[in-house]
Amino acid sequence: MFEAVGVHGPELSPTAALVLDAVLVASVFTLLVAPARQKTADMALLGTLVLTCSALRVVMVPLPNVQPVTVVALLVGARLGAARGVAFAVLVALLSNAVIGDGWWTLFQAMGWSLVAVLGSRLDVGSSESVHLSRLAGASVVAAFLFGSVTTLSLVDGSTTAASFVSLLVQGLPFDVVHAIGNVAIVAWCAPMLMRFLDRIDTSLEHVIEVVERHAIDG
Amino acid sequence: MRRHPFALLGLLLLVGAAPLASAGWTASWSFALDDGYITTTPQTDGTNIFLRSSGFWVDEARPEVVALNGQGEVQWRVDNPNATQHDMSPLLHIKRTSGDCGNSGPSLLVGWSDGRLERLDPSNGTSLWSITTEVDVWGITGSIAKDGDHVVVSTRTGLLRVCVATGEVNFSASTGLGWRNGPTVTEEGFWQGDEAGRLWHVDRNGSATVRANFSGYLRHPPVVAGDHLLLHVQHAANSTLMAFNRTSNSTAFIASSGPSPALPLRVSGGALFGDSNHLTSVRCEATCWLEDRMNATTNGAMKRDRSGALWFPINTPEGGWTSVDVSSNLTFGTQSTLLTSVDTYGTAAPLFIGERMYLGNDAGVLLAHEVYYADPPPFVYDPAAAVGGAILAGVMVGLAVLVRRTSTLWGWRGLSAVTLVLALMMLPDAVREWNAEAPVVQGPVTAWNETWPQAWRDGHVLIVEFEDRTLMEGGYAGPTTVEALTRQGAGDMGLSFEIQDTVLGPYLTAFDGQEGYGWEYFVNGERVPLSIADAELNEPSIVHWRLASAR
Repeated sequence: MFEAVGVHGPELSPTAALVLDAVLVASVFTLLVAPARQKTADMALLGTLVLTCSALRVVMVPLPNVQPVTVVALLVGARLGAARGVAFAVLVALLSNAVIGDGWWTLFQAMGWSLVAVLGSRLDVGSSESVHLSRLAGASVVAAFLFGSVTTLSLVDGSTTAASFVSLLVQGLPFDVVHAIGNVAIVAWCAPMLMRFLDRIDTSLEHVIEVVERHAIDG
Repeated sequence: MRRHPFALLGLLLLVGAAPLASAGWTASWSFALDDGYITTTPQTDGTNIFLRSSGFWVDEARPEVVALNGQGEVQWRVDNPNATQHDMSPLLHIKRTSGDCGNSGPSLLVGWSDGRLERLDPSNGTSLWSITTEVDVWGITGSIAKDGDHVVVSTRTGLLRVCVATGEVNFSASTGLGWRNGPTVTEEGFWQGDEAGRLWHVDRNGSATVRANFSGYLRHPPVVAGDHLLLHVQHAANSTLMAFNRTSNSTAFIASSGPSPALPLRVSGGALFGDSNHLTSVRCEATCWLEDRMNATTNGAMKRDRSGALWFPINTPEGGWTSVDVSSNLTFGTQSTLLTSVDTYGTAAPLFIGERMYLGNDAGVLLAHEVYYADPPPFVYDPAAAVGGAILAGVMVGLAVLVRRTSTLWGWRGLSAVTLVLALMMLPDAVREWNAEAPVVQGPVTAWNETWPQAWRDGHVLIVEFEDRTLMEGGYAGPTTVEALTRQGAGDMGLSFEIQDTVLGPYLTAFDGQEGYGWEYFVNGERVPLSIADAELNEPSIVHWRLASAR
């Protein structure tokens, strides 16, 4: 929204777009499906969350840069680990952009939300009974600016200098601020509910893999 | 202590609820012709105003061309003792031309009813050259169009292409008898109608052929809308809106309408038509269709102001001026009427120069108006602001009560929701203010190119870069925003364009139907992160549009 509606970066050929989407789907498969002992019910719940967030993102397009996906990615990363957080981020970016508009920027949006999920995986957000709201709100503010910075990379081309990239970041600051305020509001209103939902998914996947790997090493 | 932020933010929000100033028009000076009507739209060189009179041949009175400065003082006036019919050919001001037939300085082209086409020096009214065209009761009554270093003019019986610099005739083509018809310039040649309802095409060698035959009169330049030419065919008691496909040579009926058509106005994606009964918008893609219609009485010229609102004179004994908001998809919005002290019949469109508007009508009076910005009314007398402030205060009190009775969490929930709503409301203004100070991003063209015509040097230059071609026009002195320059320049280039209204202002989404992944623009080589209506051009500038993918 910096200079003209729809300006995101270079146009992809159909083949390039197909390859990009295939790479993103393959990464999701690797992260989500490949690990053993993934429960079907958990997959269904995570899928429900992906679909809900994608739909929410589509219907909230008229509100500039209010992005519920950011907070959910943060929480999925925090509760389910980085792998499933990244898978969630990539899937939401792919699905919602299939409606809003797919292109080069999908890669950077997926990367942005993936980094947010990784940030969340390093965060102790408490439990559904006692959510650390202030910590989560602070992280969601950081996540807004992190996401804005990563997606600005989609505008970089051969003529972009460090100075012009900084200019792009500065020009986007009002939108990042709105993103951050929206994140805080979503944390305040929805975080406890989202935590309860995520608690229904087995959070021990990474521990299981870790234990299995350790036994294998021991063996 | 944890509740203090709520009270502090409430105070800040109340302080921020300031009322906004409003704008309108206020009359400044007037100039009265001694005799005659003002029936054609005044022209300008960016500073001076040029108007012509029609009618009145009593005693010594004759039709004339008058130049006024910005204060309404006469700079020069030139009459034509041989004019014996209504002079209704609109004046054409050209800043400069350059080309194979020679370079010319500023020019004011005048077509007279005695058949003369004359080039005047706009600075003093001196005749630089004059040529004679055929007369059959009357001579030139149609419009004149610029075609590179030439002009083309509809004469009484045909079409003439003349070098601006020398007055040398490039060709003269015979068509049918015309009155107030005027040519339209396209890449493949020239189009004009006649009094028998025939649509003529004249190629660049001067060869004329009839391409369509409508029953009625064609008394305006055809309007280009993509592959189509839009026409308002006049009949004895009504009119019809028609489309002619230039590729397939087919005609299509669009709608019936009222009598005495106005001069249609080309707009992005179609055209606006007026007559004694209606104002009608027509849009074209693969076909053309009637988009919107409202009751109106307008039989002359129409023009859009800087905001995009359409202005036209009300051609009734009571007169006055109507302005109508027109959306990007050509639907009509709010309508208002401006009444003056000299209202009567009128057919001349307003002239807009910066923040001034000039209105002329059949009373022979030119009225200058200026934009005024009303002082913000005192806060206590602004009910909207007071209500907004009261609501905010109520919300804050409610939050405080909520926090006291329940938990701080509910306070944060309410506060964050209110803050988000306010942030979204303030975002357009915030972006505008922020980006006025933000560092610039360099773009493709930063300096004057010596290969460009010298005639462009004192005005704005518009560049539209497609993937396979780049179009340029220059020498524009009038536009003060990127939107105004783009509208005018794209029209001169024969490009259609789409403009979309967003919460952040109007944004251009397509030239000639090409959207790609968006269009971006640069002013003097710097990316401007504002909507095109907010990007002001305070000095001669180079505005470069390109597809976002053109990297």
